[in-house]
Order: sequence, then structure tokens, then C-alpha cells
Amino acid sequence: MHIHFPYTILELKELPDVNNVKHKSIYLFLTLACFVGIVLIFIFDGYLGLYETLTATGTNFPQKIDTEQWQQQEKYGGAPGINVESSGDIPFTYEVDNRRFVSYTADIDISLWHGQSRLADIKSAALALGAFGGEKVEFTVDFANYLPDNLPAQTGYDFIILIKRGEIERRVNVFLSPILIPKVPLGR
Amino acid sequence: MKMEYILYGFGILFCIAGIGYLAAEYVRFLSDLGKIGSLMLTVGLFGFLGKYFEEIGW
Repeated sequence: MHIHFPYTILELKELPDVNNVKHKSIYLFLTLACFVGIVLIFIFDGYLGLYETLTATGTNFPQKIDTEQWQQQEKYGGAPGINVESSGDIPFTYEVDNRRFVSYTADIDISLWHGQSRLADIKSAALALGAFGGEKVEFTVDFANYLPDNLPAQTGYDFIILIKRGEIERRVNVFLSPILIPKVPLGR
Repeated sequence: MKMEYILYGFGILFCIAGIGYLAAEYVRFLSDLGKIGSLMLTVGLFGFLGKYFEEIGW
């Protein structure tokens, strides 16, 4: 459109309003900004929280239990458990990750149980985590020391590791498998 | 031509339903602060989108 000076009122009405075009785009950008904001909230909110992990490294393969397995036991079919096949000290690492803007303190008490009977106190520790800090508590258990004397050979045994962190109790079922590999190789 | 618009309509409807379902699943695990923030941004999102459509003459 070519409009030459002097403009008439009718001609001015037909001119594209540059400011109005920008105005419209701003609303679209604000809409997109809100959408991006919602996505960012979903991501960041999922990251925040108090997370804990128990890892058993001395077993045939590393076994890991995380917060979700304790919190959503219906989804995972009951209390989380690990399988131990070897005798000797099995090292465990219990890690607490404080992904929050406030500090966190709690006493940790780890004990070994069989059914309702407490077999041993394994470890006690005091946690003091700053904002976005983490701490590891390492302990070892030799399950063979807690087996009953009259246990028949080639029989498995159930233990429970109970981790008390403040008011929260985390239970881990441990199944000690019988040693399936014969000590003397066959054919000798 | 009419058929195309009907298909567009279905596509848009399924997109909104899918996003709505995913959002509902995520919202269950959000903290209260996150829920309030998301709600405010959702209100803002639809408000600005409405304003944009109004400005372009819908």
C-alpha cells in the first residue's frame, strides 16, 4: 500500500498498526512463558525433597533400594528386599540426600531383626545435613553370625534390617540364600 | 474441507486430553507450593491465550 502525504482519515485507517501487532505477539509470548514456567515447576518440584538410598555392594551384583520403593510399597509388591548369597561381611551404604532449602538433622539407628526379635544393633549415627547436602552412613553385617545353631544345611534364612531415621522407619527384608555351589568341585 | 476440520478438531481434542492426563498424573506428586505455582501459571496461560485470540479478532 502506498500512501503519500497528506494522508486522509480513510487512508490512515487502512495503515497497519505496528504497535498493535507487537501487542498481540506479547500475549502469545506470555502464554508460552507460562507454559514453560509450568514445565519448569514440574521438573524442579520433582527434584526437591528428602531422598534416601540403601545400596548393598558385597552381593553378587549391586542391589539398590530407593525412596520410591519404601514410599510406594503397593506398587512394588510389599517391603523392599535384597538377596544375599555370600557369607562374610556384607557392606551397605545408606545415603540421605537433602534437596531442600532448609537444613535437616536426625538420629539414625540401624538394627538387625528376625521376625519380632531384635538380633543386634548395627549402627547409630547423627545426621546433620545442610541445604542441598548429602551424607552416607556405611555399615557391614555378617549375617552368618546371627544364624541359629540348629539351622539345617542348605536352608535360607530371613532377616530384617530396620533403619530408623528420626520418626521414620525403613524396613529391608534380607534373604540369606543357602550356598548352592558345592565347596568341593564335582568329579573329584 | 469440512472433513479436514473435523479431523483437526479430533486431533486438538486428543492432544488436550493427553496433556491433561499427563498433567493430572504429575500434579499428584507435586508439593503444595508447586501446585499453587502451577495453578497460577495455568490461569495466566489461558488468560493470555484468550487475550491473544481476542486481539487477533476471534
